[in-house]
Amino acid sequence: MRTNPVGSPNGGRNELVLTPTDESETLPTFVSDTTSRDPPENLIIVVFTLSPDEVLVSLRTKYEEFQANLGIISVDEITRSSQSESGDSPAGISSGLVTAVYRSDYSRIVTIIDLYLREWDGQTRVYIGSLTPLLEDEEWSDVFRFLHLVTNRIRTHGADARYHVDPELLASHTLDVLRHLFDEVTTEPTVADTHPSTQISLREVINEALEPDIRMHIIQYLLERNTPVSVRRLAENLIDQEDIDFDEPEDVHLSLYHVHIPQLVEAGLVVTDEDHSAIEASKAAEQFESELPMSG
Amino acid sequence: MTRNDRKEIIVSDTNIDEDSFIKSVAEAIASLENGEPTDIPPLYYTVNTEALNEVFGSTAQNEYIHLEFTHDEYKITVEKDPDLKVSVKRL
Repeated sequence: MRTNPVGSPNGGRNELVLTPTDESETLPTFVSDTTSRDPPENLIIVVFTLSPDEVLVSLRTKYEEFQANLGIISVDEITRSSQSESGDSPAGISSGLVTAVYRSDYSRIVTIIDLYLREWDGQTRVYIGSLTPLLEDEEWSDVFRFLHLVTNRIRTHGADARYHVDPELLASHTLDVLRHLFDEVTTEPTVADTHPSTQISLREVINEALEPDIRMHIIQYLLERNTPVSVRRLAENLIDQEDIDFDEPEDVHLSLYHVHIPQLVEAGLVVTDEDHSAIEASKAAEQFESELPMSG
Repeated sequence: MTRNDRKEIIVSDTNIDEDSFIKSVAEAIASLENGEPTDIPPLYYTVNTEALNEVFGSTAQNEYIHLEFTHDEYKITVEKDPDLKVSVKRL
């Protein structure tokens, strides 16, 4: 699922992830995505349900792998500490500070994010936890205004932010309106969730998706390459596999485009660009690489 | 894409397995449209091409099979009577 880019002159990016999972699952995913490729210099974590302690526990395993400035904004229905009243000075922020904010005080959340972004040099990634409680309890127009402001700040500073919401709890028109604020709207690439029956095991889904050898070869090739590959190049590589029953790369290309790639996308194992011309292994495929029935 | 004046293309004597079926249909549409076989949306989203192997793979004689579906703006008909025939028609 993709929307049109809103325009990101400074390379800023706002991504909305539709996922039924809560912050205890989306935060570790965010942290592991962030640390595995191109670690940023700065991290801002905005949580609505997790406590700052829980955030630190989530980060602890990965945090030592890179040196990042860290800012945690803990948004709650009740203010936990008086830290949020200590003024707008960014002093101390870069050493890693937890700020507690009252949930309805949207402008305060935006201000703190803005302070971090102004204070820090280099690439900043921002995790915005589950918006679901906000959308359930607060005025819709306030939430929209809040998101409008945050996405703007992110864009202005060229940061990279990921927001999360449970699509089940969103009215479809709400999602349509939200969509316009983001550069990209994605569905969490969890292999099991993309399959209609959640009772089916991960291995069954993978086995089915990879059943013809050609799809297995595709995944193996993409995991080895670890970078987007053009479908044409993939086809040329596959024709060299002895157990692939094609004569012309052009014929492989047609079968890839019309059947195998869409099926692998549906299984959550690969991702493609907008016009399906380049392809790479999904994070889920990488994560489950050891689960894959590799022949080599 | 400049459109061809023809509205229908029939491919006869096709060996209907999954890959040749995809090739026949995609190339027929491409030639109707003077375009590329990958200009249309993937067939996967409309038809279970793997099932075609089973449906048309039967060797029974005197068997008539007629299968029809719409993909994008095209009606695709696959017939076995007993020879195989795929026709692609612009709607």
